[in-house]
Amino acid sequence: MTALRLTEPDLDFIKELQKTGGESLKKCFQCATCSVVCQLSPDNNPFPRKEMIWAQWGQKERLVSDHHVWLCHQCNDCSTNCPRGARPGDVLAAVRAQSIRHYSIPGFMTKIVQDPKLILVALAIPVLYVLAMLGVDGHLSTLIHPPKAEVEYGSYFLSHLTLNIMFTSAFVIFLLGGLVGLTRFINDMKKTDPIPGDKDPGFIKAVIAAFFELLAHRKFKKCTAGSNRYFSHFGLFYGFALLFIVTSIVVLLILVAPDTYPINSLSNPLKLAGNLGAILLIGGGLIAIYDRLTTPDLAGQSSYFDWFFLLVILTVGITGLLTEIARFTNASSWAYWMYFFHIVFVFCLLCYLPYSKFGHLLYRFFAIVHSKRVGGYPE
Amino acid sequence: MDTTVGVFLCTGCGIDEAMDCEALKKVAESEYKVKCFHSHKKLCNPDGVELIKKEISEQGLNRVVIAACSPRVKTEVFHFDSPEVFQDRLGLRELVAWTGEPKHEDTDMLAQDYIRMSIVKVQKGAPPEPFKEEISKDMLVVGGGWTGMHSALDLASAGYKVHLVEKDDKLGGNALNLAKRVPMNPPRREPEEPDIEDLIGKVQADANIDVHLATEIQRINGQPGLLDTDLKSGSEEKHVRVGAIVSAVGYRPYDPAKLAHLGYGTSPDVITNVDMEKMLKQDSLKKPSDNGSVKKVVFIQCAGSRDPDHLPYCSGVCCAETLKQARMLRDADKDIKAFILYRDMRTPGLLEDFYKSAQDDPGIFLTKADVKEVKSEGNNLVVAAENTLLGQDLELEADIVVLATGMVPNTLDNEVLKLNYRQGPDMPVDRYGFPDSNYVCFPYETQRTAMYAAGPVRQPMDAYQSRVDASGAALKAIQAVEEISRGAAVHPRAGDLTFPEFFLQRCTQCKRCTEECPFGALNEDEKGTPQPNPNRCRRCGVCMGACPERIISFKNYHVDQIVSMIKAVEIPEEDEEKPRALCLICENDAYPSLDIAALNKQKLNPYMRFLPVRCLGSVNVVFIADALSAGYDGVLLLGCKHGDDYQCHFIKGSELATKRMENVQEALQRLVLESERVRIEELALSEWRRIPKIVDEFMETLEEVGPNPYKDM
Repeated sequence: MTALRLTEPDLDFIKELQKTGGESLKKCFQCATCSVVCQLSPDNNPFPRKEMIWAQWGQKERLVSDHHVWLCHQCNDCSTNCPRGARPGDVLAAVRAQSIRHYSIPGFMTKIVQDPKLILVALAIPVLYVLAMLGVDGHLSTLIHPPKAEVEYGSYFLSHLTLNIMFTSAFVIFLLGGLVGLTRFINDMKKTDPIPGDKDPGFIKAVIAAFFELLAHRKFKKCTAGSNRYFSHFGLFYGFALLFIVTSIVVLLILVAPDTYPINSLSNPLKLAGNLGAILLIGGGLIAIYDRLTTPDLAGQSSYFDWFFLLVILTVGITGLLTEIARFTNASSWAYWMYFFHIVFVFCLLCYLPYSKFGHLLYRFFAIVHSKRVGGYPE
Repeated sequence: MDTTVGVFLCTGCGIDEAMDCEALKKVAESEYKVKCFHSHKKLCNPDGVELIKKEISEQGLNRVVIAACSPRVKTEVFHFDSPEVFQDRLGLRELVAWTGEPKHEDTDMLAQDYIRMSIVKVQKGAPPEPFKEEISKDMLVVGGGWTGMHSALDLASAGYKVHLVEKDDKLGGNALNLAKRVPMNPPRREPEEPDIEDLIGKVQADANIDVHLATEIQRINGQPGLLDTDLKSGSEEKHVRVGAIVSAVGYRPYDPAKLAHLGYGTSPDVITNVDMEKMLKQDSLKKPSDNGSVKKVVFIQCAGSRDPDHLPYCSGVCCAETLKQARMLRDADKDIKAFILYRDMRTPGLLEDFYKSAQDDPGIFLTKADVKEVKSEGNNLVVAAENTLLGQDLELEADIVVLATGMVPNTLDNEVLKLNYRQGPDMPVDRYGFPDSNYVCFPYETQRTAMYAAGPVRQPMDAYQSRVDASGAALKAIQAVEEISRGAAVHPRAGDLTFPEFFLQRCTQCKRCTEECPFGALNEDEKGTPQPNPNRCRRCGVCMGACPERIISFKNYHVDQIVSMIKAVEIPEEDEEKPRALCLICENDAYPSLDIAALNKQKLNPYMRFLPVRCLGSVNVVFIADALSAGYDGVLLLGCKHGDDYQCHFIKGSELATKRMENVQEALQRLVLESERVRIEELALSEWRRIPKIVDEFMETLEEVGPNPYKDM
């Protein structure tokens, strides 16, 4: 094997990792306890020991394209067993944030979403955009003088047409940026850890396997230290999935049969599914926050990257539920404001997906797919 | 001088239940006509001790046998401070009661034999008369570096006059070259400012310390307490008399010229850690080749260390020194990147915190690696390494490559002390050049009495350890002069007041004693007659064991005494089918091990008689020859391990005993006896479980060989 001339250590990358949750990374002295205790690490090429020294040596190229960092579900079995306090679980989380930042475009969007100093900008964009949508509909005044009539968001506030056109297009544009980033990521993964021809199950099979694994949430069950993460992630994942599906059906429903909307019966299957989703989402989010606040050693040192995503998704759930309550109780004084905030945070969630922690939905999924194709993936 | 023997038998701790105590009394009184015999239920009780004291004064006893527990216990209780009385502590409890079959005929015979041996021992021996002379308690400290200065200050503050000899024209030694030092004080996270100048100031200001700069030792004559030292400074000669010596002559870095495989010599930019320290001290960080700027520095650890072709050992300091230099480079310029390629990062003890602090620096990169080569590429150096932790072979570009070289003791090939000793001018050194002693058990000792090595010359160590070592050596030196001033031995027979006496009229100048003394105690005249130096002596008796003319003796330990003890044992006739064997057992580890076996109630073969000796080296061939002529079926020698990791307290006693077995075989041939009748076994202190097995196996061998034909003669 010819010796590789080492990439010049990227000091700024090290400092950036340290700033974003990996401040302990230099403490590692390579004993490999982490790789041994990790239940998710492949036997033939274990992590996170090697990632730790790459981080120490500022090997940015290696790390951002490393699919192994995405196999980690941050249960922190490694961090709690680390004799040196190097917290590999947290370092890998920081690496994942850097990976998203490295690949997703446009770059300034990741900056806006990931830099705590720019939080006002990050919030101002959706606020202004929703105000613009209201302006298009001519319902800006509803916020100041809510109509006394029965609460009816579509008629007095945002029309479905505006939402469908303006919101969906924004989402799609941002998603395209994410998909470009994802493609670059997948290509880099193939370069740094090429797929061997013989054992590769093929892209489709790997995708299907990864999808069912995701549904089963099996990997979370292997965790010991942060075992609550199974419940919080389960709630958040299925809550979001239910709500996303219900919302999509409703959007279609309005297009094909506008009369069926709004749904005024709480026993309607769509309403039931939506409310169940909201409860799962809020419950999962609350567990996650509780864990992060009370047992940071187990749940991980939470960075801005973590908090931003977690609080956004939880706010989406809570504002959504309150918006629904306001409609059913006809609380016109605050109903429209609640709906306004709801839409703002849904924007933060969906449009910022490729740049926020939510991006792991894409990156982790395809890293797992790649890992399955490379071989050695711990089933 | 007439001997008046009293025997005091303790019947407690199971002695009474195990043997016929009345029979012991009969042996003492009828066979040896002892002046008095007393049994006591608990001799160590105050009334028992009072009884002994009363009888000593009332009966005029000058020889006392205390037949009770092992001489290794209750030493304070049975200590009678009387210069006229010679006593033997016979460990009946351990040798018989705890290890024998109770109330068995063989057990009684065993106990009676031990009583006989003990009475003969005190009859033949005499209380010691210490060798005392007016001595000097002044101290000589050789080497005015960090360790030597600390040792001198410790000695001076304890009230001793110190001569501090330094060959340079200034104090400080290697420590003067330090830009900063590895931290010694909590929290041990930052390199510290060296305080060598303060230390020099303190030494120079101390009224008890005479500093001799630019001075070398010409010759040291005499013996501890009376070490006449000739010093020379330029053309000026000085003479001082000292009692003890601390050698703190330090180390030198390993010669980098031998490190061509790590690129030394290929480019001026490959330097050593010493060169790097100089650069940091002078604040002139430039590439030696072209004065270019330095941005990337690669440190190669274990350069010539832990390498069978170079220094096979770890110096234990280079890792921390490199971490320090890396920190200093980074402090000097935040754009510098320091790469450290180590084999194992060794920062023992609290220096781990310093390691952590260096690790925390984002500009210090560490990995385990095997360096393959260092080559020049244009203006730069490239270090190729394999087996790295990064999972790939590396090629690192570098402006400067630093080889972290280890420590070589200055005693390796220098004459330092220039002793006028028959066995050579210096403390004997081990295979690496460090002054050797029993490094397994007594690493602070050397093979020259009252001379102690301290600091990196003793073994590789850092300044923090050297500071402690300096105090240790100072304390040992103080102990030595104080013991010698009252005629007592130092380690390991500390406090022993005997010394070997030579009946020189019968000396045949064979030189065995002068050659074999492990401590170089004996000089020779031109003819080869030994010239004893009692203050150099550790009282091991190796000379006594060596002497074919048997002219070397201690007051309380000599050839005639031991042979008489051997002969005091009753040898049953052949048809009684009760074999007898003798075990000459070393007092230092084997005998304590026997005590432990007894404490654990291990059963011992009752046909074996144990006779403690100061060291297997003190076993004279005549002991064995006489035992076999007396009818013993065999002789077992039980002592400490010899070899590279020897455990002999007197360095080479057990080794000499093994060598002398050749002479023993000659004696066996003369007597027409089987070679299996004599065996030597080595035992570590902890191996007490082996003793019953060793004895049983030996007795089985003797049974196979058959009874000694000399029995009935």
